Amino acid sequence: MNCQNFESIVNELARQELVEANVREQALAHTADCEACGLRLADERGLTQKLRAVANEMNGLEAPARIEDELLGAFRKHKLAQPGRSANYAWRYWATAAAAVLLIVIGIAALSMRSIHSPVAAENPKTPTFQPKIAASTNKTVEPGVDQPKPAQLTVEGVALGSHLKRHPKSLSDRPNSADKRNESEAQKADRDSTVPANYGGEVATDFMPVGYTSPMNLQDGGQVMRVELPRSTLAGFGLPVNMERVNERVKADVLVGPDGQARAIRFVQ
Amino acid sequence: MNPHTDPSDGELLQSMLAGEEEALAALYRRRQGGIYRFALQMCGSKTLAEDVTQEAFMVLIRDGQTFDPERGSVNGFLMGVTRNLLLRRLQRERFYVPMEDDSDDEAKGPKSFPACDGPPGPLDELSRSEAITSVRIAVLTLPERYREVVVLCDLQDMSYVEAAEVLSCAVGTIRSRLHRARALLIEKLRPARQEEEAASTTAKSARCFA
Repeated sequence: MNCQNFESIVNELARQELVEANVREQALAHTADCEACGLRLADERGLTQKLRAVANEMNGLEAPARIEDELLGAFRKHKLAQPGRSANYAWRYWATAAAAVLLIVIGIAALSMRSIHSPVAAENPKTPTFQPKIAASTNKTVEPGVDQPKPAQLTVEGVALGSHLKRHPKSLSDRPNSADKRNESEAQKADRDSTVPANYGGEVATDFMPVGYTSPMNLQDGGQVMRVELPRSTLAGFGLPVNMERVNERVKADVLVGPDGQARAIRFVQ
Repeated sequence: MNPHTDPSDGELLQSMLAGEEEALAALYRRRQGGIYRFALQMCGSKTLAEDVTQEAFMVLIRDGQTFDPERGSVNGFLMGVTRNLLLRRLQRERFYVPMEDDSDDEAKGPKSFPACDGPPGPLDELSRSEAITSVRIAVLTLPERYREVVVLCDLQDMSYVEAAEVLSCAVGTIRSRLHRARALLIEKLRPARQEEEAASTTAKSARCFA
């Protein structure tokens, strides 16, 4: 045995750990020949003796009795706070998992049912939303001022504008969406039959015209219609003729506000 | 639970988790000494050792169901929890209390153990107590990774396998760390031996002159 081999087992020798008998004999024989390894073993044995003395000295030490009392008190509180936790732990785990799955299934079913009954947008009786009919061409202009009593007679470039003026509910905010749809379908019917005047004695309105650079596809997202009053000069911005004698008056308009709060389209109402 | 033999730690733990307070008391009385001594030998502070001992059993109460018998013993689990709590506290508080009630001894340096040939007198007891204190201080000044293997293997008398279970490392790691730790301890305690040798040389000289 050389010094390196001896160093690898010197701890076990000093601590009287289990070492093979022949290895032990070789190591002890090496200490007889090598003074440095002999001193090394003596140091290790001395350290072992000191450490065992420390261990024996501290052997009787225990935690104070109050800790046991505090632990038992905490255990009682814990048991009261969670009665039967350990016994029902697995059962509660699976019950929670089943409840979570059930909630997910119910949520999916509710969403699918909602999409079937309301394919366009969620119904809200107080704030109706609907799909506006977009003006096919901005060339079709109309002046909804009171100085044009019969919208059906309005013409621009030879095109009858009566079909673009439709009966419009006086108060959109008080009407449910279904009413809007009914009115819209009536207006579409009127479009098909140009002989039927669009003005039924209520308000008359132009078609919705996109505001800014809004894509017509965005208008299909629906939104909320707000009744506003605008300066008459606004009509000129949409290519509509303006009666200069009444330029200081205001005109009514319905603004379609998209879900993001941006104005998407506008129609003028008389 | 077999009424004729002492229940094992695992059985006591299961009973405790089922709500039996007596099982917790029995498990605590069986294991608190080792846990407390391990904490005390690691940190040197009775207050911190008491706190950590209590917290370790609180962890057992709260999260005892996480104990896996296939991964080790309940005692190993408790020791591991204690060790983690201790390291966390030591790291957070940079806690090092030299030795309570023995602050003067630290300045005097390590002491050698007196010879135990005859019945110990008062001076021998005092000297022995000082020597034990010096060894405890030397252990406390070891880096944590070396200190814990010395405490577990030499002071708690655990095998390499048990220490590896507590420290969650390989047996070879325990062996090499213990080797290094003991070498460091010998270096720290060497002045005492040198003083002892010097005293012995003086005595021999005195005899030669006689």
